[in-house]
Amino acid sequence: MTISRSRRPKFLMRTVGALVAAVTVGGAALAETKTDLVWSHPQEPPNWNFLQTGATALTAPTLNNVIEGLVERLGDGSVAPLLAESWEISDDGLAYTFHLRYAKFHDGSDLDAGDVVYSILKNKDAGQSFIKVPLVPVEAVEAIDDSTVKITLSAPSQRLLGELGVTSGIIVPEGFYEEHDAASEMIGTGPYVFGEYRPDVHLILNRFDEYWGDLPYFEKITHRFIPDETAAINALLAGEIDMVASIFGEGLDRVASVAGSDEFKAVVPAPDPVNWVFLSTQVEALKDIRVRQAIAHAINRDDILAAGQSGYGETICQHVIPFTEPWNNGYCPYEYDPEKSRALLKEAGYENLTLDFPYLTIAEFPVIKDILEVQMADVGITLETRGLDLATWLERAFRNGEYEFSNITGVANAQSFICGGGREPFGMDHSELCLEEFDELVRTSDTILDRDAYLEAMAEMVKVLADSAWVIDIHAKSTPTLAREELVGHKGYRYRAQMDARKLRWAE
Amino acid sequence: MNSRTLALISREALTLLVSAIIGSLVVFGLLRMLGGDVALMILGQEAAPEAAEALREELGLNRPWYVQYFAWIGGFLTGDLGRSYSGGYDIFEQIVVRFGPTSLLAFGSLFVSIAIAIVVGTYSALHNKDWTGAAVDVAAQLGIAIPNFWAGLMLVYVFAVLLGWFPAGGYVPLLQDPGGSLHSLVLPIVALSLSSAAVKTRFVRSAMLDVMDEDYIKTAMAKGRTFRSAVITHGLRNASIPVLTISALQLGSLLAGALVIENVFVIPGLGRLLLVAVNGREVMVVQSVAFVILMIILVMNFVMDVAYGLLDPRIADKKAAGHG
Repeated sequence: MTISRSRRPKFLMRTVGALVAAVTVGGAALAETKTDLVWSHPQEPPNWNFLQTGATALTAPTLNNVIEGLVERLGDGSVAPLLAESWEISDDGLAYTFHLRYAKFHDGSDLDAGDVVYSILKNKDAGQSFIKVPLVPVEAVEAIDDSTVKITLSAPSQRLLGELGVTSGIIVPEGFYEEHDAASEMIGTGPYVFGEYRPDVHLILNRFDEYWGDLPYFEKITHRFIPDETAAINALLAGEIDMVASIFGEGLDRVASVAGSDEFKAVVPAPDPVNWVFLSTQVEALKDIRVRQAIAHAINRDDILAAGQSGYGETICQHVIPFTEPWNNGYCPYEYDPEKSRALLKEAGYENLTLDFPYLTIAEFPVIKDILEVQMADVGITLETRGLDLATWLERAFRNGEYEFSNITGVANAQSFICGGGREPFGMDHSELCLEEFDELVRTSDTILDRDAYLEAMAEMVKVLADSAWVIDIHAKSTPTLAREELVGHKGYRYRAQMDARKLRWAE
Repeated sequence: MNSRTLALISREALTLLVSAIIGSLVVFGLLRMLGGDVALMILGQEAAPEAAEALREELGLNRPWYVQYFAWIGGFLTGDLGRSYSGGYDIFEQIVVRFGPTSLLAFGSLFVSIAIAIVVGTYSALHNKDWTGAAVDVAAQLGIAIPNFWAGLMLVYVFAVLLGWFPAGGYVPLLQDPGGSLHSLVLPIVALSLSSAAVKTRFVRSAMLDVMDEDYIKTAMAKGRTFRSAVITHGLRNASIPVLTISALQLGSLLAGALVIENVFVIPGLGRLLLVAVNGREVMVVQSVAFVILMIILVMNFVMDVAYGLLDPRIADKKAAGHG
């Protein structure tokens, strides 16, 4: 076919236009139906075995969506029925009797006491401290009948019921770990079934129509793994996803501007993980409490929260996780006071102290490192910083104790710092801290039956840890979520970064 | 097959084998030097110390390095690369699955960059005396200078977020939906091909300019062709050899660039697998993927060297005589 010169430009434009239309229209659209939800999370767990994997990336899409516990812990720390409809606690606090509701597992089997006995005993042997430690006082778990379970303790435990409402009480079918590959499968009683899992792509959650409770609004949730927060936010702006959860990196800078539009909003939950500085017990200078106090006085928490977290969270001086625990009383032994810091260092004879500071090169840590460097330099302390990726930091600083000053964010409770507990600032075997008063409070507080006395003891415990200044808490962080304006039903708090879909729906 | 050809192929195959062995040792050794605790990466920082030690033992991380190396190489030869420490997936299977998106991205970018270079380079040469040709030259310089991840982010912002013409990320498998797959790869391919297209454009332009002054152009015109037609017909043939040579050399950087682009566009290819595995200290995955990429480049070079030797026997003779 010959096209005359005069017609060539028009022909060319029509051809280009048709090609563009073919490319843009011909591909599969990513539009979801009204009852489908697409959300993203920046992390993917190494596998789905929650007994083995500590990553909150695992609990984010699954806790209370797929897997459920005996009870549910609420935002104020109280406990509500879940798989257990009701329970009794003996007067001596040594026996808990749970009455189970009728519920089905996703494999079609009915929940019974045998499943609870199996699950609690498995949880007690978990490789994760946050699952097994609360169950240490559990002496026996027995099925009284098909729907009644009795847990007998060696000593009373105030925290047990609350922990059964998070991860220590997750219930799976009897024989699950022997008959299934827990690394790639999950069976629970929740409103969503663990569906198609494509590594590095997505996890599909399909509504479980035989769920024992109110069916959630969304029939299908696509949980996409998008590690790059810029890419995730772009996908939200482009309409490809409905929600971007757990923004804690470079995306924090864009939250305010994106949420400022009419189409999107930011959901900021109550703070959960805490950021803290920890000091090595092997350094002579740091054994002098005046030096540790000086370091604590040199830290301006407001600056670190503003720069490291774009202000999302609250400053904190005590190690209380979650932030909403009733014994979090705002006590702050070492307010920002560089003058006092310099005076303490002079008094202790360490006016030019140098400390080795291995820091993480991901998320908020480089920014926090920069600010700590300046703040310490202001009082005469030089931080010799070296950036390490997470794997290397875990090996060298956390496991081998190769640090003098370091910084981390986590969900470790204060009790885990007990002598022999193997947590930083102790770096496992190398750097043990044994505060007699603190250890005694850790051992005894949980066994106090009287609630008020228990709260008082817990407050004293975290106060003693804060006073010692081995662990200097900086802030409790909130990781905001960006979502479409019309997506409502978000929960105002989270445990283990959970993305609770039970009440989510489109606004009418 | 004559003796010269056999000698050429044998020589190049030996080079390939030696390079592969040295490459495998380098990849293996460097990863061992990286350090990092795999068990803690899998279990998390709240893992009980005894659980972490038990996992290290279970994964065989405490075995001597040479035992681990020969176990890996042996598995490579039998097609069994073992399983991921954390996810438990079959490594060979994952490499095969992810090879598709990465090769679509890398080879797609290669062909797109060749097409862009031919068109733009020719245009620039034909208009080398006016401002449009100069503008193209400047654009080529910018194409070399602009990082592909930045180009990717800008393309996403304009064509996905603002205009909504293309998806902001994600990948649709080709066999599942060919149209959707290609649609999802338009922006990543453009982002990845810009730099290599800019480099090739300059080669094409240079080759075309050389041709323009040749006598056979005048001869072709005397036979009735226009100047433009004569230059394009003869010049492109002239430009094709260096363009193909550069393309083969650029394949390595395209595969490396694909790693970044896969992250920007959330494409589950080899690059993403490598990045996640490096962060998670999945040494078996990293060394296997790195070795696969290494072998692709080595095999491409082997093919090119043999092809040159066959096309031009003088090259084969020079190599045989040890002159390169």
